[in-house]
Amino acid sequence: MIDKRIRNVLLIFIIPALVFYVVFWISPVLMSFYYGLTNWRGLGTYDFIGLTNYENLIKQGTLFASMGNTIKYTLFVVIWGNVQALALAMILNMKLRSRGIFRTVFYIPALFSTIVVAFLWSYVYAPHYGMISEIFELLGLSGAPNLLGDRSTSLFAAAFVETWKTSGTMTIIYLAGLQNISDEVIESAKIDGCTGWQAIRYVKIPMLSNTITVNVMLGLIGGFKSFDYIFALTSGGPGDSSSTLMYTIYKMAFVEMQYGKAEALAAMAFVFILVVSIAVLTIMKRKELEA
Amino acid sequence: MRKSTRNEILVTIGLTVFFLVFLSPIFIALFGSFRELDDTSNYLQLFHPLHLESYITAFERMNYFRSLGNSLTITITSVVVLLTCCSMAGYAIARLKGKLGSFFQIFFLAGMIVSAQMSIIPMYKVVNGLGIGNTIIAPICLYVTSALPFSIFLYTNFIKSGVPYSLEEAARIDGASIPFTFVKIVIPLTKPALVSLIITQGVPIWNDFFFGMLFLSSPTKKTLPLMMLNFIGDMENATQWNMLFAACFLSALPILIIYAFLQRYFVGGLTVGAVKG
Repeated sequence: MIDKRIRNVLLIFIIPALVFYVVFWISPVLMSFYYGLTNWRGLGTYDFIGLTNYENLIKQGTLFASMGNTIKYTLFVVIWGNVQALALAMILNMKLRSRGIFRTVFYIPALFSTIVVAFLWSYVYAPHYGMISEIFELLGLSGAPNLLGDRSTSLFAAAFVETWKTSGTMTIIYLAGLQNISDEVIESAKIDGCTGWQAIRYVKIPMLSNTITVNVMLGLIGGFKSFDYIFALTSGGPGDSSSTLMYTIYKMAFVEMQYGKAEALAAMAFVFILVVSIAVLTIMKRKELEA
Repeated sequence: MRKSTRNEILVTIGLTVFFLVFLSPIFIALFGSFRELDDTSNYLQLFHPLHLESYITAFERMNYFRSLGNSLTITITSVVVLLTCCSMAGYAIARLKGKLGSFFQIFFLAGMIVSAQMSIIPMYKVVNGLGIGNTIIAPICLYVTSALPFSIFLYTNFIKSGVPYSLEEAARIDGASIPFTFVKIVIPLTKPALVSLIITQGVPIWNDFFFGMLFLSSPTKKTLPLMMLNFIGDMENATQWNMLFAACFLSALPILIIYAFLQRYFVGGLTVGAVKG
């Protein structure tokens, strides 16, 4: 049986990836479901305590607070990130001679490490000597906002930094999508009496639906995993006002040493992200077909 | 014609202003990094005499060449192992007939929604259980693993849409084995996908600090982003900012140089798999 021999060779080809994936990715996730049912604190023995961690996370409000922050962060990243990138891509897609230079420069933030980006923006946001404060001073205004120190703005200040860093990537992806739309389509839409805005709304955006799905999913995954900027810029604060799911899990495990509780939260986060990702992907795919 | 030229000039000016504002944190930090060490006057006054003291201090405190070497070793090893594993698995998944192929595709894809923070404690246990704690093998394994789901997905799709099966069949009739066909026919045809993976996965590995922060405690093994992490406490101190800015640029310098030379691969690499018809 030649086919069977081919199949066996192909299965051997999967083994290296499978070993990494099962040892370092799947088994830790499964183990975390188990630890979530214990009161393990890292040292010594631990007891099996059933769903107590889950109950506490819900009763103490930790689950919904961190989930709410993650949703707000993600919505900001997805909506603002895509609007900004799509608008820029459309402008850059005009036959400008300087397009290459703009595209090159605009991608630079995407090359920086998140920790470097966090340093740059903690200068921008710093009270007294930071960029925003100095601009206020320059204009003779008082009361420069302390965006990272205010409960109502710190989460969005961090989310804005994320869109700043990813804008180059998203714009380049949109630009490639726009370049796939042939000029003839736009020309014939104009001949049929489309105004510029109508051409964008009813021709370009539907034809970009595939690219929009890619960028929405990119934003969604980035938003759900938001950790780096919260860690380096706000430490979840002030209070818990910017604690996202991933940051809360990290803090519970490594700062408060509540391993069991952290893994219970991780398990709920896992289910939540799985359900939302599948739902959004299904909706986006259906929209794509309609378009 | 004349009207379109005027429009182009207006749009170009508008874009230039936008980009100057958008990227202003980078420009201000760049000018700040060349100031005297203790010069904390308003950063918006960009032009001061050039000084390199901030860079010298940052260079020494980061132990620059050692950290650069660590970053290079970890990134290059991770990317090589990643490409080997994901191309083999991606090829197999694309060519496996029946349900087996789609099972493995979904199985690996599911890993994309897992975030490293979710299972850090068990991950820690696995790493220490294997005896690779505080070695560079630990972050390398985790970089490879966390990049696998997306990489396999992209590679499988690239083969399905871009590599004609008839070529492989013809080779097989001529007596070529599967490993031979894979290396001689499939790999050369999938170069764009491999380049794309080097860039989309290599840059984040180079820039990451999370796995290093968890698994590398000895100072001699730290990478450039990890050395930046050491400076977090200095952010509170207004007099340290010139040095911090210099450290930011020193840490980004290698990748900026690579970008300057290989820019078209970056732009091309991002859009492989992201945009189809």
